[in-house]
Amino acid sequence: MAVPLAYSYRSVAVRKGSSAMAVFGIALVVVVFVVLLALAEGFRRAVATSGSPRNLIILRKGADAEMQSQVRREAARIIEELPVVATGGSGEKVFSLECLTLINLPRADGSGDSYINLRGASPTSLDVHEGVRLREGRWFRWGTNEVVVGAALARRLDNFKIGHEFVSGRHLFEIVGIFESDGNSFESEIWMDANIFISTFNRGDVYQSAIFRASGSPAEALESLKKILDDDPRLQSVMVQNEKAYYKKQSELMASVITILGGILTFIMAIGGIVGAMNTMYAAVAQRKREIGCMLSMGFTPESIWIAFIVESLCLASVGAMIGCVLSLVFNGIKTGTTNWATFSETAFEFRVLGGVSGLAEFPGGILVVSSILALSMGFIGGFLPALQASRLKVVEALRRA
Amino acid sequence: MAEPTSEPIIQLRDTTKIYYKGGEEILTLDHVSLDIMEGDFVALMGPSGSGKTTLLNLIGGLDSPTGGQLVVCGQDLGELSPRELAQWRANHVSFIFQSFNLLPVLTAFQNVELPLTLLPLSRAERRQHVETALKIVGLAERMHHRPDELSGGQEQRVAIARALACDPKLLLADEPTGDLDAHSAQEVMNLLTSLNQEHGKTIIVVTHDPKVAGCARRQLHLEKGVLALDKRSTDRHPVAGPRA
Ligand SMILES: Nc1ncnc2c1ncn2[C@@H]1O[C@H](COP(=O)(O)OP(=O)(O)OP(=O)(O)O)[C@@H](O)[C@H]1O
Ligand SMILES: [Mg+2]
Repeated sequence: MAVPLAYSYRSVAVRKGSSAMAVFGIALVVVVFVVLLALAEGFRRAVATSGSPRNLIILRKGADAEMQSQVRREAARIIEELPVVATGGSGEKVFSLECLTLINLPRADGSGDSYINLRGASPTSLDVHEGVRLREGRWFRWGTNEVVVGAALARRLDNFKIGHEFVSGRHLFEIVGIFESDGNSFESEIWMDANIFISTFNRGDVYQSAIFRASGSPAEALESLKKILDDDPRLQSVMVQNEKAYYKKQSELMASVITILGGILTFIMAIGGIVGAMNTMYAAVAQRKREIGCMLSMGFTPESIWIAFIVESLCLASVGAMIGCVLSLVFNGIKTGTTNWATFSETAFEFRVLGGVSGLAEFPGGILVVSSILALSMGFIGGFLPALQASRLKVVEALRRA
Repeated sequence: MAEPTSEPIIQLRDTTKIYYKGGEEILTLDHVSLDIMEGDFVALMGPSGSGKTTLLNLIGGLDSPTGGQLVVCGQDLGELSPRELAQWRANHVSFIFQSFNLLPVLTAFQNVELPLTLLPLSRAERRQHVETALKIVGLAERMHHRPDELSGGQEQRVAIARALACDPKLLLADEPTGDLDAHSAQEVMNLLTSLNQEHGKTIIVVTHDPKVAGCARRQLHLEKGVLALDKRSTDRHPVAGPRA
């Protein structure tokens, strides 16, 4: 039979000072871990959700990102006429040829330059990118140097307001509207007329990508178009993939970097947390030697003593986990941004404390669950040796008066 | 008034205990032979370091003798593994300590219930045992109090209730009044006396206090690990010694 649970959890509450130190250490590790995972998850969400699963994207063969891609207009026109491209309500193809370039603009606070995606859009772009909506002002007029900026960008850069103008290279652009896109990475872009883009930047008839709505099942459309691209000698220079899969890939490098660096930092801090828990538990065992001796004299086995102290350490850890999780909620939804190393462009996103952990716990709250498990593991590891010491006490020694 | 039966509940034959400390042998019990009858009330006396606690611990199965034989409640304790010994303790003996050793985070009720969780009893049966034990020591109305809300004498009475709860044949008390004032000490001794007389418990009390020893029927004196004196309050029983 086990020592009653009440013995373990009440003992935590009794030694407030000593417990508080261990709890604080564990809570700190939890906060750091949660925040880093929330950062990675927020970034992943912003970028990975940019693509629609119903869309396919055409890029130059071998291009890792839209920025390095080139798609010639003639090739795109051939694809546009294929039956795999869906047709909209008014009979036109839901097919958009787009340009993309990086422009660098000084940050308003003088802390250097930001590299920002400038996208040349077609009249069909809004049909293809369904989530994109105007929030403020109006859309740019076709054939002008007017632009609309993504909401995240407008938030991060103070000088990005409607009515403002900015200069990039020798070109002047005028901001006339702000658009939103469910918080994904389009909101970190500036959009303008693709034709003006091409003449401004002397692009000839080369675009970066063609994106379209698949008719019927996207998976089947993808397979059949792949076959067509393989067979048609005019289409040898391009490849096709699902737009959602493309953006997911764009998010992975950066998210893994955050997760790995975060993992290393958390690991180092966790060692501190474990040592803290171990100290507290060693002190508890030393202080309660005679209680332990008394329980052994009653006939409790060394195993049940071990369990009682492990449970006590787990209680410490779960209090730490709870406090850590609650504290980290403060970070939820805070907006931030970084340069996406996969595209070199500035990407805005928010901390998603309530999100999941990609590849490990992909459900809402996954981050908090994984972090709590980390805390409990710290409690277990920290409590292991002290509990072993407690269970190995010889009863007559333990009962001796100090 | 119940008299001790003629059945020995404890038999020591040339029982020896040697501690080893820093390569040195400490002969703590030197060939002690002794019978204690069921239902007896024994006071164990002697100077500090004479081996009283050691003897009590051996009888209670907390430690194993280095040599000789030790039979308690019909069981040769030398034959038991540590695990079996723990189970045997749960079923046959209870200890009462000088410093009470209640678990401070548990209530009186939970403290008394603790050893019962080691026995195959239902919740309701445990509750009944606890209430009975607390009633015997006169603390039924304090059962939801924590040890720090009780006086020293009350704490020791809860500890006695805890010792009683499993209804062991044998109660072993190591200086149970050592930390108590005279009044509380008297209460505790009255309680132990009634447990012996009315409930037939066999009791061994280690003490330095002649008044406490006076409550017992039989007084054993240890000197340097050797049984030096064995005295009956009423000389109706012969001194138990090594058999011929
Ligand atoms: N675990 C041990 N290791 C080494 N020596 C021990 C151990 N336990 C007891 N001793 C020694 O055995 C001797 C008897 O100790 P014991 O505790 O039995 O004495 P006691 O009669 O109970 O004394 P007191 O009245 O002070 O409680 C002492 O010399 C003590 O130092
Ligand atoms: Mg002693």
